[in-house]
Amino acid sequence: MDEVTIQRLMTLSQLSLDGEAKEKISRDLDAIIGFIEIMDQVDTEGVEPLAHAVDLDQPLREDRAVVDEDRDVFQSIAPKTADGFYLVPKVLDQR
Amino acid sequence: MTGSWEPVVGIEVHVQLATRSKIFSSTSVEFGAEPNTRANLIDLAMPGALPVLNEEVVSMAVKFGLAIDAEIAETCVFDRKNYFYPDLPKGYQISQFESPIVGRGQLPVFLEDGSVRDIGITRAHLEEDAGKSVHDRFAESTGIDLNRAGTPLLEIVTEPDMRSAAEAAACFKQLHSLVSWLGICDGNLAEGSMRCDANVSVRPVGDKTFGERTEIKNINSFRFVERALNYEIERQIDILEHGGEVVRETRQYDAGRDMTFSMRSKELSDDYRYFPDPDLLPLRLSTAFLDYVRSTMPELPQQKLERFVEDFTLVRPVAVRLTRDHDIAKFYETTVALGADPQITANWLLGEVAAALNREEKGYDDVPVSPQQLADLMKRIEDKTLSSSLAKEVFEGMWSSDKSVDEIIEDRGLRQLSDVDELRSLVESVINEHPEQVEQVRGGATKVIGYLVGQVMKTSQGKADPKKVNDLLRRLLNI
Repeated sequence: MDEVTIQRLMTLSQLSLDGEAKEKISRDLDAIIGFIEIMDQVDTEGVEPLAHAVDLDQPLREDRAVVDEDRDVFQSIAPKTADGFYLVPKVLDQR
Repeated sequence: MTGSWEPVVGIEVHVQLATRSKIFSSTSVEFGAEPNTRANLIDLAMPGALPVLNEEVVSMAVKFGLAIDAEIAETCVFDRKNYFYPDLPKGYQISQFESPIVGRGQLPVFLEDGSVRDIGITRAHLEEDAGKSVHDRFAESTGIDLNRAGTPLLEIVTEPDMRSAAEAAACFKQLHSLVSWLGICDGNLAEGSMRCDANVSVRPVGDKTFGERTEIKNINSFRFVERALNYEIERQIDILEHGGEVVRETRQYDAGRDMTFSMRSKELSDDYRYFPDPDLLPLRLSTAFLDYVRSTMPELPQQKLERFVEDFTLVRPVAVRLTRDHDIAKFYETTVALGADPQITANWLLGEVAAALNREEKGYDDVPVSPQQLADLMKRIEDKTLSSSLAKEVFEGMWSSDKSVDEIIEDRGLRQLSDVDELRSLVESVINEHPEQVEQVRGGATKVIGYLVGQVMKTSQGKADPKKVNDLLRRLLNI
């Protein structure tokens, strides 16, 4: 796992790691990729890609609406709220 | 120099599906509720909460697919689109990447000049909306409202088949009309029920390859689509004619300044690392389900148009206008079914009714006159009780009261004069009062008869039938 790739993954996952932590995650990722490389050796020629490990169909839910009144419960575990909003550090809309 | 460049445009439209509950949770979907009062465990991405797909969402997507004659996927998969943003609680959006529910289809688009262009639809897929970030309300923070998180969206992607800003706007309009017609979207642009992104490039006329394109994000009105694209097309032509290169980027349209500007390009923005969401199983659509949805399909605008031309012998441009949106088509059909003449009704709906609605900024879903009232009025025109000018007066009366046509006719004494004796005495008195003009008519100046008819109309306060008056005058003057 080279430095550029690690940096890119950190950006994508919005993580800031350095020193020991960064080395550890780099080793972990190497191990994971090694494992994938072993799986990659299996001949999958002619095998349909699988979208899910369980061979079942998606059940559907009837379109019935429910209004919960649990906002206070949910907001009691939030670090910061005001006027019903969850508050986060100021962000610029850059999606 | 603009003449030598050809714009190429494709659009992506996010359609908010008009369900009661969200796509993966039973939370009620409604606009304007207090912040975060429509966000449950699943919408908030509480650990362990699992999504369950809403059946109505699937059936609405299938309806759209059937309406554009598209392939409906027998099996499709939901994927995770990964990115971090505070209003996306899970850290990913559930969407469809490789296997959309609706495949390739066709949309006939009516252009301003009355012609029709078939625009290719590449695909339409299901996804969930994100929450809303409020940047200007709190000094030190951004406020997050997750009411919108999990609202069902159908993202419709067209082929780059459009060749002008006006065509792109017409295509957006056509999609708006179709999804409203199908009842799968409320079509409320102001509340964000439909949002349009446009991909645009220009190339020298005759070139087969596309130029480098830019994407304009989140345009939410028909007018702005056209204006934003016109600006962007001019901008690109200007760059190319000055020897520059168009940079591939995402731009935003500022309606206030009527220009597009580059959005800060996000590093690695395209790396969404899609993969099948293990929380959801593959969606398989049974033949029975598809048949059921097919059976609930309304008659489509195109089919209705053909039927109107056939059954009511309407000319095509009139039939096009009567089938442009669902409400006017329904109003028309209901009125005709109540016994009104199809031709007179068409003229009235597109004439007087349209003008009155326009004046009061109302739509055909909110006409103060009922189809029954209009049908009764049409019958009074057909049986000659009312002349067209009297009918207009009755119409104005119906617009502002619930009275029936006959009540208004009685109240205002508007019944057209058709009693022969009464008419004759009116005509005779006009003849007696205008000896000079009568002489002229007898002397061969037949045009002057129009003046005499006018005098009779005046004394009858418009209630006489001008044709009968004319006949009677000619008979009494022996011409």
